[in-house]
Amino acid sequence: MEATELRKQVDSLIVEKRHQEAAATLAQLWRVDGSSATANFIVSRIESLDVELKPFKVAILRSYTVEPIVPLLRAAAFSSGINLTVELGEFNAYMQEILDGESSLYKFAPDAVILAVQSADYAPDLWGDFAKLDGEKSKAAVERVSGQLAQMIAGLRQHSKAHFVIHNLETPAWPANGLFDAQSEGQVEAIRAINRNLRAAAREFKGVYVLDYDALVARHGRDTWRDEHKWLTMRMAISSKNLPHMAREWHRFLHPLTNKLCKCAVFDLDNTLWGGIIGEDGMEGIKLSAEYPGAAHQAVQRFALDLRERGIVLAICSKNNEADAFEAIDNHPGMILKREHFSAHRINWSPKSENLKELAKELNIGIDSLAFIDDNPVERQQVRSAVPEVMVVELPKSPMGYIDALRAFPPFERLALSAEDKKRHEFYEAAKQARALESKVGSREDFYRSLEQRAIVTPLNSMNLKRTAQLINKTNQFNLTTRRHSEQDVAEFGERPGWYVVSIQVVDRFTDNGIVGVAITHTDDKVCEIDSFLLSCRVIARTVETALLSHLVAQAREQGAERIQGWFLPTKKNPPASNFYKDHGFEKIDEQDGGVLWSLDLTKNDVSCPEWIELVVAKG
Amino acid sequence: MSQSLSAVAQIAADLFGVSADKVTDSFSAESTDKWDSVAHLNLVTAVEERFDIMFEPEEVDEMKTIGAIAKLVDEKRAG
Repeated sequence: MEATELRKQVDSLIVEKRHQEAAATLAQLWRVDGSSATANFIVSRIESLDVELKPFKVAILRSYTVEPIVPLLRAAAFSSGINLTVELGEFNAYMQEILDGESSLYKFAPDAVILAVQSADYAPDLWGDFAKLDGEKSKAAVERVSGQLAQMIAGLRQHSKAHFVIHNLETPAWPANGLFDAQSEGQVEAIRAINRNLRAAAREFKGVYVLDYDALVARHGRDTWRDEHKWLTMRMAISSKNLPHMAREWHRFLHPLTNKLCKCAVFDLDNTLWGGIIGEDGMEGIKLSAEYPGAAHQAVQRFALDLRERGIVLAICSKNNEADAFEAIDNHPGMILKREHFSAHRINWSPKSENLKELAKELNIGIDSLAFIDDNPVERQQVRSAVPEVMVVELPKSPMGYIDALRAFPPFERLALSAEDKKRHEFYEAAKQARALESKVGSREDFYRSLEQRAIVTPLNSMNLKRTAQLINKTNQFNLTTRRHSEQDVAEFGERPGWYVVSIQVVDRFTDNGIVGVAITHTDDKVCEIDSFLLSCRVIARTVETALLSHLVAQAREQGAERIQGWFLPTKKNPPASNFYKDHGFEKIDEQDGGVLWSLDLTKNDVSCPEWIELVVAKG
Repeated sequence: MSQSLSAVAQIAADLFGVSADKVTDSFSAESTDKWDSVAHLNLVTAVEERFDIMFEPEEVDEMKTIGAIAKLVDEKRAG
């Protein structure tokens, strides 16, 4: 449908108060036409929509005009289910705004801060007068700017726990010394040195990230990125046609920062992982090789393997005869992906929406963490309307364009990778085997015993902090309070007197599952309160939760507690945890806004670790 | 109405939150409260992006009415 028609449809849906449909139509409009004009339209309609969006506040500190990018960013965020509030800093006041703890930046209390300053503003000498600088002066300029960046990072961290996204410095399209620049420690090299120092400074702090502005400018063309007229008259550093690219780059960060992430990429087969239709074209007919046009599909397969390394598991959802499909997967010489790379599959003739629901269930992950990749617009539409929670990748007509569409899909982004992420597909494989075992062994207890589980509980330390924070922020199902805490917060809890942050690692006969659960408690005045208690869906229903609770009880006793209590705060996703406290003998002592406070009298009761789990308490 | 006039009118309608048929060629900065300097910048960049053109600073100063903007777009596109 055309953009003009979609606009009309949005407005009549709003009049009819069909808000969900209006929001879906706005998202469709944004896919059809992601221009500044459309962004202004979307932004003007967000306020009149009564739909559930995740609120998020971003402060943009800058040395140039970014005002026209804001509607583009807000429209993109809206299409991801985020209601973005943006506040802009004053021109070139970024340093004061960061260093002054009383500044308007901190009063705004942003969830994330973006620092967008161009090379010419950080380093006018390196940028405009490089040819006149001798080696010493150039080195001094590099140190000055690097120091300034490190100072801003430390300054922001001193006053705020917000995520911090810093643009690195762009290198010039035309270096001051021309060809000689590449033959010497030239201008480009000086700016790269600043960028290296920036990366190192960012890594010293939690939640500080570099936006590779230099690569962004290069990707879209250094020569045409800027519009010098607009710079001189309006302080616009980016030309109009590149503003959407800047907005999209910021938008890519929003997904990992708000935990709107894909955990499983579900691929169609025909015309997606290979060209042609296996059931009709046969093994010889499908296109999959290093040559055109099969190369486009091999590129998609390679990208799928990259996703796996990021901790995103792969699955298949295809309308085919299963035997035909596996014949190609197992035996086609052009296949880069192998059968064992897929953690689950649904190859049948049922509607794809049904298959996606089943895949989510089989893998024990939320349906909203699936991304669906299919060349067929009809299938994409079917999924969008039947299961709107699924993230759908919009693919262009030509398969040669698929790879770029996948690379640019923000839910695939990760800003940090833990060791667990890289091994995640192994866990799903092991879980599959464990389920097979469960159906073989007789009683539940026999099954638990057969797993040969060892649970290692470790107080918070610098090695497990990242994974601990990651679990706190993404675990939805077995999570008693669903309180999200940033990595910075968790680190701070670990140091507060009376507080206890602990993680649990589970090793079974199939695999080392890694760290799969976290609990946070604080004890004062003989009462130990459980702030957070959560387990990855990977180990639900194996009594690991009892092992962790038994450890908390023992720890609470050590602290002199006579009572342990915890809230169960219900969400759409945590019913699996609703009976947890009750099942362990806790009593209901309070109720508020749907939440229930459960308590266990430690002078009369105990929770012990199941005999089939070996519990090991490690030092922090 | 020329094609660029209706496209420019649509951009202005989106930006100022009015219906496109209210935006005539005499729709102007003078007569519209919301048309401040930030809105002007948004309008200029959205038109540039839509038609893949770049305005000179002198032209940006002339862009006071929708009719004037559409005329400039037509001139630019005619080369």
